[in-house]
Amino acid sequence: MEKRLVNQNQIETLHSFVRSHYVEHLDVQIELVDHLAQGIEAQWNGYPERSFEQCLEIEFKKFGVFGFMEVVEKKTAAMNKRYRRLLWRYTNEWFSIPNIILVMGAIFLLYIVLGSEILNAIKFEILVGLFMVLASVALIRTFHLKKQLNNKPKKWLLEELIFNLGAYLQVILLPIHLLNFNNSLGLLDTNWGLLLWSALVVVSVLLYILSAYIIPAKAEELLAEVYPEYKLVY
Amino acid sequence: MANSKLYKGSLSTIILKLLDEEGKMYGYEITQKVKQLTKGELKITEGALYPALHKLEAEGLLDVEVAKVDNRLRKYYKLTEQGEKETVNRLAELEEFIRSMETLLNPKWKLL
Repeated sequence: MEKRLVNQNQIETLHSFVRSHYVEHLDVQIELVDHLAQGIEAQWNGYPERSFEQCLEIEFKKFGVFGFMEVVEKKTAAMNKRYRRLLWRYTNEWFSIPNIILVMGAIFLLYIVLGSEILNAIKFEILVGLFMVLASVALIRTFHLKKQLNNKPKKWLLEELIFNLGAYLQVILLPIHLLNFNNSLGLLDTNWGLLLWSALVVVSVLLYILSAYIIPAKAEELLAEVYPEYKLVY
Repeated sequence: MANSKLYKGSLSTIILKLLDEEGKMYGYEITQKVKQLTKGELKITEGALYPALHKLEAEGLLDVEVAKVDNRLRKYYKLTEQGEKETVNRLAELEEFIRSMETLLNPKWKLL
């Protein structure tokens, strides 16, 4: 007897089913749909009288009470790790000798400016202001990129992380809190403290440029590299 | 004994070992292979398998291949070079653990 297979319409139903269970990214959907389809086909092998819907219900129950939630959660954590590795790769690539000189120059310039007689008294306010401006610019950029992403019919988990600047907004809030703490300890009044904070501002700007412009510009290339299925879908 | 929590910590080692032997496998195939090898004693749940696979992939131990099978896409996992080395390490660790457990459970009493 010929093996009964899940047909194309049923594959579409499976995609809708996983989507309705909060799996919105195509990369996660593809794997779950194939898994469910195989489980259903295996059931038809032993129980040909079962309907597609009955088999699907049985297969879904195997994922436990939380359904696909754990799979999505862990996949997001794994992809975040992958994103950080990509960011690290691009940071390393960016650090050529002229760029290192540029970064060192910028740190030193900021250090001199903040330590100058005129601005020394308000260096804390300037530093807070710089981080706030950076956070606001990143917020606007995120909105802009999100709008682009929402227009796309198919969503990929890594793409969403890229267009969300890899949680840059959450990260940039950290120095603002730390700055407050450092100021109360008087660290900003030391030369090393001021140099360190000048470096943090420059590094934050650099990370912003990388995550908001350089990586999103290479999104297509990166998706094709990370997802072998990307080219098969488009 | 089925689905014992004792297996939980060894799930990624089981996956690595299977991929080392089989070359490349897809998720459903792994669950069935484990069931078949352990004669149904151990059932890897779907909710545990995929998170483990994705974690190993993110760690750079697994590589992914996708092929169109029947009317859908299928994701195959295989070991990377780093994954092959890690399999050897993890299996050695697991064997050491089994030996220690045996010693603990079946101590050889000696008369002084």
